[in-house]
Amino acid sequence: MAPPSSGAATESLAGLGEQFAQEELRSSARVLIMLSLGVNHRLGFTALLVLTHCGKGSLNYHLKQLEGAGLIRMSTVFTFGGPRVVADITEKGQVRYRGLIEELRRLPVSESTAVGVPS
Amino acid sequence: MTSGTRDERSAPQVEGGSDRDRSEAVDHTIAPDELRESARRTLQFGRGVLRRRWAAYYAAWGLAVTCYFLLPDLLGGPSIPLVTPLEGTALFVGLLLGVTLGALTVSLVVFGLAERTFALRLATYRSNPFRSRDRVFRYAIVAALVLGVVILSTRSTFAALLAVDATLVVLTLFLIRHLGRAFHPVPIEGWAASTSFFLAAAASCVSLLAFGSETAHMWAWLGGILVWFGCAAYARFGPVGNEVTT
Repeated sequence: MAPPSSGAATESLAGLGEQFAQEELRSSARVLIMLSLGVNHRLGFTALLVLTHCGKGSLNYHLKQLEGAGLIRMSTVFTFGGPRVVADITEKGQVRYRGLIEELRRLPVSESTAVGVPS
Repeated sequence: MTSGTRDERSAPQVEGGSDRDRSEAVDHTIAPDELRESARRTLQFGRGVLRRRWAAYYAAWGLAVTCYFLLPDLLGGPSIPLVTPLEGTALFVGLLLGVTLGALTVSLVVFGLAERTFALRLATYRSNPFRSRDRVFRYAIVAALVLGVVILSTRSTFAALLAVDATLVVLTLFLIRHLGRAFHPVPIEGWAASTSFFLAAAASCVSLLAFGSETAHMWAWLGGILVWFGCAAYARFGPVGNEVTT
């Protein structure tokens, strides 16, 4: 894939600014949660704790923010191991996730990403 | 790789406090590097989730292939005297449809997850090791289907088995493609499952052509099924390292 031109890079950064101007995505933990839920569609609270390295209170706060914005839906499901709190991405959340992917794709290639896939 | 997200290090770890306090301490405008870092962490931690989902895929198809081989003997044999031919046929078709639909559903879920992971990896790293081979995969699958139709047109059980096996040999490529799109690198159970699948299908073809034996065909698949169940157990319960599990 060819690296974006400087014009495209500027446009990309402007798009990124628009994406993150909204309250619900002004946090890297919430962006991380949105990206993970965009890929997996559903994740448990415990998995999100490990993923974000947040404390329970902080994670609750981030999840409330995302739920308040209508990007995710929290619920309790019953499993063989007992009740589990899970987060599901909503339709609105998927639209926002696709926007994040698009912005990610349009970002200029940095040295670390130009090297290729991780080991 | 940092040990945590940027805001997490400064985020309040307490239950109390107003949302406004937390917001002021936590929220900030996201920089492009933070977005990239989040995508990298998502890919790294999602690998564990993916392996658990692929475990369901291996188990579902292992069970389905086991049913394909065992059900005719179980339902048609003298061990179930209460089953009449008609009931046996209905039960046989129903069970086969059930396990096949179940396995297909699991496949759709897993392949969907693989595709979404691949899209995120492509956006993050701008590298697609499988793109140049996509056309080859498509040609191979079309060739397998054409071959299957040609062999099936001879209308014999032997030809039908051969067609199925020949198609499965080529479908291994399809499996490897999705494993490659889901993982980088492909975990050991992924290689074991795809290799055993290929060898079982190939050995089955050879046994049918060389010996014309349907029994040899069944034995060829038995090894493959066992490896698939082993892969499912390893992917589900094996070590996942620094990865998220659900």
